[in-house]
Amino acid sequence: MSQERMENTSGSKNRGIATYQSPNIDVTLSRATNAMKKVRVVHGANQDYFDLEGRTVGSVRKNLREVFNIPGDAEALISGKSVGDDFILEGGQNLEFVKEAGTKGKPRP
Amino acid sequence: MEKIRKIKVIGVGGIGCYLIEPLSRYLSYTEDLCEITIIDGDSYEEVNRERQRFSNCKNKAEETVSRYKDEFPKIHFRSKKEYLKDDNVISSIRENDIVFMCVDNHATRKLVSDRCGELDNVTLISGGNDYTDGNIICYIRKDGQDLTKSLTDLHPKISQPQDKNPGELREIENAGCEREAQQQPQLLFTNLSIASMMLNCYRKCEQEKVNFHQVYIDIETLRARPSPETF
Repeated sequence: MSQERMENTSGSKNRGIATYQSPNIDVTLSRATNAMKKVRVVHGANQDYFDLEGRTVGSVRKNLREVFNIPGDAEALISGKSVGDDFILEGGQNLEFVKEAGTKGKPRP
Repeated sequence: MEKIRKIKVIGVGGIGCYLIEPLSRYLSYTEDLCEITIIDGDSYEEVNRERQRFSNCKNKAEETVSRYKDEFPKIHFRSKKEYLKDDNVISSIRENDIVFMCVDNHATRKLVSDRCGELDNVTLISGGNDYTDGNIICYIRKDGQDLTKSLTDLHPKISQPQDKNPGELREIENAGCEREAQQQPQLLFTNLSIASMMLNCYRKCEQEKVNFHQVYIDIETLRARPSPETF
């Protein structure tokens, strides 16, 4: 059985670690500016930024199904909240596909 | 001064049975004294042969120890033929342990994560997978502080498990009730990938260079992603 895919991005404790290294600020700002216009799509190990403003979640699910290995029954979350396939995306949003609990080892539908 | 590494491996099914051999080989060539305790209340069955490595259909912990104790004589192997439950987790997971957890249910994940949260110094590396993808979580506590997030901090569903601890499930079965959790098919290669990543994570722990809470792996798209990307 897999461990959960959805990360707890709200309310968790922000703990530091001794090995933290400061990122390059120019690179970070450039990436941030580009990312603000795009939608970040995540499914498990798969993640990328796409120009998806105005597209629906359903169309993203369909088009990235093979590339991101997204199961047909995966739940779509925008900033942690569940949305339907007719949800229209805006730039800068974070779209994450997560599996339902209790689908251990099940080949995707 | 020789260091003593106390390692606990919880669960030697699809992932755990492939983790023990390289871990033992690696530890055999360190200067430290090493003790590996393998904990599993389950027994190998013929149906496991498709993915799991064993010679005899007996308790998984005992079978694994008998398989490797002669091959790696430097390591002191111990077996505990029991599932972890409330009444034995305290004695099983102790200060300074390095815990590899390879189980298939959230109830045990929560139990072990919570126990580690009570200790001052402990490393917990937990792995799990579905058919072609999975993840590992690395929970480190040092001097009473969390250096990375616990399993229950990361995943709310683990903090409120909907499944049952296999030890309790066994008691229900023995009482004549039907088995509630049905095994779903798994893929050997995914198990291997998770076991390998757990060992990679252990190496990063040794180097004190862990800069992630977890790593996602997908063998369909051949990708791995540590999370978060910036720590």
